[in-house]
Order: sequence, then C-alpha cells, then structure tokens
Amino acid sequence: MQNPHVIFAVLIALGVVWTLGWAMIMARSGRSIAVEQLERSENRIRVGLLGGLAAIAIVLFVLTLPRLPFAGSRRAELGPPQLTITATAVQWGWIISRDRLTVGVPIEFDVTSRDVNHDFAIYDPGGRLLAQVQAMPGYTNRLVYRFRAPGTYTVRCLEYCGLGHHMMTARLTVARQE
Amino acid sequence: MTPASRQAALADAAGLTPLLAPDRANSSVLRVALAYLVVGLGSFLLMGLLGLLMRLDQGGILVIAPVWFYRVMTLHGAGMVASILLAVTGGLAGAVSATTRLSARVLWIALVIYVIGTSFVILATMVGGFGGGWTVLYPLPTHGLVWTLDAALAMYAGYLFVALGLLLYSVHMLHALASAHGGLVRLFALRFLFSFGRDTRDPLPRPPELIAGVISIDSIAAATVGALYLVPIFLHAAGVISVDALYAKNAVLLFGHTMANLSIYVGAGLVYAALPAFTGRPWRTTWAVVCAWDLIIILMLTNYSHHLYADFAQPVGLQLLAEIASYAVALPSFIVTIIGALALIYRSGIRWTAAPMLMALGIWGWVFGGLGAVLDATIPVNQVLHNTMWVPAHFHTYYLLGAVAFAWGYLFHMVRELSNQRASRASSIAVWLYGIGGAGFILMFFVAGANSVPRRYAVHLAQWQTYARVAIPFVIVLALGLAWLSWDLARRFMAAWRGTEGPALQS
Amino acid sequence: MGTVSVSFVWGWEWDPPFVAALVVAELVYVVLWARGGIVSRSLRLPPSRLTAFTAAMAIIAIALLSPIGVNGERLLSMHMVEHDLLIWVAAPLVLVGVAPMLDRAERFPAVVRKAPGYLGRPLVAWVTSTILLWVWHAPLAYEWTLADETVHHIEHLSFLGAYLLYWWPLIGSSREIDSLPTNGARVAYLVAGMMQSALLGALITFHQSVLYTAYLHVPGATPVSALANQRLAGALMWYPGAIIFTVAAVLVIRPPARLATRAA
Repeated sequence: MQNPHVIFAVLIALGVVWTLGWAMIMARSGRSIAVEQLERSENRIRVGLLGGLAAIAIVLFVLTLPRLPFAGSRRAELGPPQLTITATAVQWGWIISRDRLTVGVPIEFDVTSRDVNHDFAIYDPGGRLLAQVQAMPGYTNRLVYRFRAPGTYTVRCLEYCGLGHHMMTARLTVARQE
Repeated sequence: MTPASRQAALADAAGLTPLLAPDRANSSVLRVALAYLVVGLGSFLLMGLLGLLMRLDQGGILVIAPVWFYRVMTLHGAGMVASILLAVTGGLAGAVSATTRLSARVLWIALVIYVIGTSFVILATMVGGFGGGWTVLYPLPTHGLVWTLDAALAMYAGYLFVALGLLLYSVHMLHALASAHGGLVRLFALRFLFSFGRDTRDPLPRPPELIAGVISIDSIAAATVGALYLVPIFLHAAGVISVDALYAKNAVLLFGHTMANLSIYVGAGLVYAALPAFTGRPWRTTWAVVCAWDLIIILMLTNYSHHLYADFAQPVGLQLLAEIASYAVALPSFIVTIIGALALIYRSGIRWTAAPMLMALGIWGWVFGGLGAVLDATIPVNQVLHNTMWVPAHFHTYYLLGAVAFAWGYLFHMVRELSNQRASRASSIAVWLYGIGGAGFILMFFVAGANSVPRRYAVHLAQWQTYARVAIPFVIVLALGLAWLSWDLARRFMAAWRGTEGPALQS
Repeated sequence: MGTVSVSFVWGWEWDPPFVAALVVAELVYVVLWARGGIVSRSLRLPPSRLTAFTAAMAIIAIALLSPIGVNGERLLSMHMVEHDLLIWVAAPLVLVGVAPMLDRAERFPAVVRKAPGYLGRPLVAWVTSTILLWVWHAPLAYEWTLADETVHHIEHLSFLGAYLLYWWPLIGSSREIDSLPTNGARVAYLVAGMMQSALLGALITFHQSVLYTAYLHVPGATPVSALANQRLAGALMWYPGAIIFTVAAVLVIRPPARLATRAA
C-alpha cells in the first residue's frame, strides 16, 4: 500500500476500465431506445454496484486498520522504538537531535514546530517518499519508522510554510547496525 | 405555434423544464445567471494564466522569484475556488429559476459582495505581497515574515466578504425553494425517503431543485464556519488570544474543503438540469435520487478531515471516520448521479454538440478524479501521497475536467437556448482539445505525485522539472480549446442576453 | 496598528464664509423643497429628501470643521476620513435630496437639461472621479493642498463635484436620462467605482515609505508613526469603501419591475 508507483498503476488500471466503460456508453448513444427498457437493468446495475462497491470499501477499510501510520499502530506493528529523535521545524530549516541512524530498528521521531505548520517527510536515496508527519506548533507528533536499507535519506518539508518552504531539507544517514 | 414554443410544449410534456418560464417571470434571473457564469468563467481563464505561469516556473522554463511564485500560487488557488463556485452557482440559479421564484436583486447584491471579496484577495496578494496559500492555514498568514499583517488582514477580509456573498445566495436559494415546495420536509422529500418511496402524497422536487437545496444547506454551514473561524483569527491577529493549531486546521478545512467540494455537486445539478434537454429523456426524482442527495448533505461535511491524516494529533477516531466518510460519499455520487447520467445518454439518440460533449467530459473527469481521491483518502496510502503533486492532481481533475466542464457546458446550453443560435461545428473540436489538453495536464500531476514530487514548491529539482515541462504543451492545447469556446460564446452572447426576454419575434 | 505619537487636537474650526455658504445652501434647498421642486409647484417631495440634504450639509460641516477636519493637517488618517465623508456620504446624500427636483426638467433650457445627462454618462463620470481621486493623491498635488489653503478648498470642491458626477447615474438620473437602465449595468458601474478606490487604498496601505513628507514635520511625528498612520489611512480608504459600496448595492439594485417603469 505504500508504493506510490503501485498506487499509480492501480489508478491507471481502474481509470482505463472506467474510460472504456464510459466510451462504450458514449459510442452507443446513437440509435435510440425507449427509456423504460433501460430502467429495470439500470436498477439492477445500481443494486449490484452498491453491493460491490460497499464490499470493496469495507474490505479496503479493514485492510487499512493494521497499517495505520499513527504512533500507537506502528509501535504495535514494529515493537517499541529503540531510538527517539526530536525534530523541530522552524521557518526555514530543521533542528534534528541526531542524524545518524540505524537500519532495521524502529525509530521514533518526535516532531514539532516552533512557528507555523510544517511537515517532516522522509525521502529515500532514490527520491521516493517513505513516511511523513505534520509538524504542528504546540503539539508533538510521533512518527515511528523502520529503515530497510542503508543510505543517505532526505528530509523535506511537505506543508507550505512560506518563502523558504522549498529549501527546508535535512539529511539522515542510515547505516547498518554495528 | 412557433418552433420555440412547440419545443417548449414538447419539453414540458416529457417532464423537461425549459429555461425560460412560459410567463417569462424568470428573465431577470436568467440574466444574473449569465452574469455569474461569465464573470466566473472569465475569472477562471485569468486564474488559468496564473496557473500556466506556475507550471512554466516549475518546469524551469520561465523562472520567477519564489516570493512571486507563492503570491501567484495563493491568488491562483483562492481565485479558482471562488470563480468556479461563482460560475456553477449562477448556472444552478438559472436552472431552477423557471420553477422557483428567485430574486434577481438578491443575486446581484450577492454578486457585488462576492466580487468585493475577491478584489480584497487580489489586492492582498498582488499589491500587499500576501503569499500564505489559499488555505490560509493558521498561523502562517500572520507569520509569513515577508508580508505584513495588513496583507493577511486584507486576505481574511476578502474571505469574509466571499463567505457573506455565498451565505446570501444560499439563504435566499433555500428560502425560495422552501417557499416553492411548502417547507423543507417537502423540498427534501423526507416522507418519501423514509417510507422507501411509498408515501407519495407530496409532489416531489425536480432534481435540480433538490440539489440546489442540498448545496444551499452545506454552503450555509461552510460559510458560517468560515465566518466564525475568522473571529478567533482576528482576535489572535490583534494579539488578544492564541489559537490552537489543530482546532484552526479543522475549522479552516471544514470551510475551505467544503467550499471547494461544493462546486462538483453544484455542477452535478447542472448535469441533471441539462442532460434531459440533450437526450430528450426526463431525469425523474426517484427514491435513489432523493436518498443519495439527502445523504450528501451530511456526507459532504464529514469527509474534510481526510486532509488531516498526517496531523497525528487529530484523534484516531476522527481519522477513521474521515476515511469511512470519504469512501461513503463516493457511493451516492457514482451510483446515482454518474450511472443515472450514463443511463440517460445510453441509446438516447443524443446529438453531440459542444454542450453535451462538455457534460460527458465532466462525467469522465469526475470519476477519474474520484478514483485518485479515494486512493489518497486511504490512510496508509496517504502517507506516501499527502502533499505531493497527487493532491493537486485529483482536485485539478475534479475541477477542470469536472465542475468547470459542467459550467462551460451549461453556459453553452443557456446561450444556445436563449440566442437560438447553434454552437459552431469547430466548438466540438475545441471540446476535444479541452479534453485531451486537460487530461494530459492532470495526468502529469498524477505522474509527478507518484514520483513523490512535493506540491507548493516554487523551485523544482532538475529531475522534477520534466513533469511540468511535459504538462505545458497540454496546457497550450487546453488553452486553444478554451479560447475557441470563449469566442463561440462571445459571438452569440448579446443575442442570448436579449433572448432572456423571450424568443425574438419573427418578422 | 502602530503607534501614533502626534497628539490629536480636540476643537472645532470656525470658518464664517464657509459656514455661511452651507447655511445659504440649506435655506435655498428648504425653500425649493417646500415649494415642491425648482420648476413646478406641484411635486410633493417627501421629508426623507429634506433629511438627506440636511444630513449632507451637516456631514460636510463635520468633515471640514470638526476635529476630523482640524486634524487632517496633522494626520493622514484623519484627512482620509474627511475625504471619505465628502465623497461617499455627503455627495450621494446631496443627490438624494436634489435629484427629484430635477425631474420636471423639461421646463429648463436645453443646455441645462442636457448637461447633467452628458456629464452623467457613466463612463465620463467614472473616468472623471477616478482621475481626480488619483491626481489629488499624487504626492506633489497632495502636499500642495497642505501648503496652500485655497488649493485645499479647490481639492474639496473638486472631490465633491467629481463624486456628485459619479453617483449621479445611480441616484440622480430621472426618467428621461436613465443611463444605467439594467441591474447588470448598475453592478458593473458600482464594481468599477469600488475597484479603483480600493486599488488606491491598497497602494497607500502597502507603500513602504512615507508618501506625503509634510506629515513628518508635524510636532510629535516620527517616520515610524507617520508610516503607521499612512497604513491606517490606506485602510480607511479601502475598507470603508467596501462597506459603502455594499450598502450602495443594496440600495441601488432594483427589482426588475421597478426598472421597467423607470425606463418607460
């Protein structure tokens, strides 16, 4: 669920199905038939769709429950964090208590802001977004994450915070456990 | 019988409502409706130029200073939301005016107030330097560091006027509809709803009337929240109190998200109003229609907090509620409105001119944008898509290839009916340009989002610039299509305006 | 909104010729009102018209003679209030009082009859009021009014005149010369009037240096206080303007039925 390329592929797949269905209807808009003939099949389609889509929605919802990114859920999933790091966002930079991290262990980021809303977003060395949490003034939000591979990761700000928003980056070096 | 009145009589017999009432009582309201559509869509075009500028900057082709980028971005966002809502609400007023007594005077006054609000926003950003984003997320507006408190206050003042204009429109609309139907219970067909369609004593509202009632209630709620939200914000700006960041985010999103979301539903009302005219089939108020739209009253207000998934301070219960509500709201829209529209079109013998083509485009875009939205509304997925380009991708699809397409389509319909002059054949090609250009443009946003490109960055890394660059030719194609459609409307507009007084007398 | 260290002077100005002029204008009006118009003797003018004109005279007096006017020399914000009262309150009220008297204008010589119509053409009226408003706010012109009392009087007269012109198509036009016959036209005209003064107000609000350096030489003034007061002044042109135009919209946008009879 957390691979954006896969999500995109799902979107395109569903989008193609929809487009084909839509195009078929538009193409068959010609020679007309009376609307009464349609109504019964229309209602059957409706009921079918309601059942089908509702079932998909429920399944999807249930699938999301063990995968929530909130601290409680992640702790349950990954175990107690072995490292706690504070990350404070300011306009326009990051104050991170420690930027050398270890692969494979759950790490807790305690994220807050000194001024406006920011967003602590972790990008992998290839430029892919892995996890994020908003940095809010007056609150400490806890993001629990486990790095899978060593490398240099980038922290970007993902909540618009003013003139320097696009310049707020930091580096995290993730190394193997000694 | 003149051809026009014969057409009107046929339409009436088929359960279709003509634009101009037989006694011409709504001719002044039709003029206001045209004014709303023209001002709204004209402003949309101007805001679109700002959007093109943003894409050119992000593509590294026409780089502007970040301080200017963020001002342009702020105006583009606020301007688009306001313009598109103006256009579609105008169209809906026109659509219901033949059977609901609306006051052109009130609608004109609402327009003035609305325009005053937008002028504040334009001046705050372009003269005052405000660049806090259209979401004006506390505490950024008063903490921008490069713009003054006066600029933020002007922005808020603009929002206040816009909220008041919207409030005036919606209260009037709801009151007029309730009067026409004998109360809100009848307007929303509640007896019919709760008896599963068995209690048919009350005459049912026509779908555009029901929809106008639904969006009026939600507009009133959104505008009221917006106005109320501004009170503590102004107090904070005066240094009197401090505001809780989580409360502020909930409040501003309930206002802003609902305002943005409204447009697609108002646009849907335009589809219900116009599609029967194109297909010759009535869109009847079935139990499904009543159920879906009555549900939307609540569902439209509950899913805003899918924007707060990354604000872990939000109670988890509310997060899950937002996820459920976001899934749930897709169901009535798709199952009733989309399927209903497709059913109306299927084997209807419809003549594909510009107006129905635009409606069909909007139907396509609404679902495609909805797919993107539902995916992003899934909490674990949101972790890797939140505030990437995926977010602009989905709302640009909902707007450009949804509500905006519906607005252009309805304006084409109104101008065609009132001027009695057909759209030019080239306009059909222009709609294809609109569709292809628009689709390419929004697809590039989705591709960028899938590649984790952040949103709202004035400067893009070299590897990100490609996405914007690919989008630009599509924007040019889109612009060409829109330019032609504008011309085709402009050449017939005065005839349409005069036509609000009734069909031209044959000499 | 910033500190103002210039002290506010509480006290009215007494300007006999000016007061005399206002009194005379009021008396002339009362006579004409009682008589029922300029030409005819049979028009019955409601008391609300008299109230409007009298209020206009009172507001002009307040604007120029009260502490508002007195402090206009010392504080840009007060000067702005003074002008606001003239153009947005007094001018329309004068028209409300006077306009129905011109209704039976067919007895006037053609020139007199046609002049308001031509001058009152919406485009002419809007251009004139815009140009005058902007020209008088150019630093050179504005400081000239502060330096020379006669020029200041000319400025006020021209503001009043320009805005009598601006409001005329909305308030003053009679049956024969209804230059904004449709609500759409009235809205467009209102919005145009609002936008130009809002733009000027915004430019003044956000200007980053003191525009009218004369205000720096007022006892107690500092560059900081003068700039803060300038921001306030800009806001006083901008925000009250928005409210005035909203009120105007409510008052001048008509239900269509009434428009039809007026145009007939």
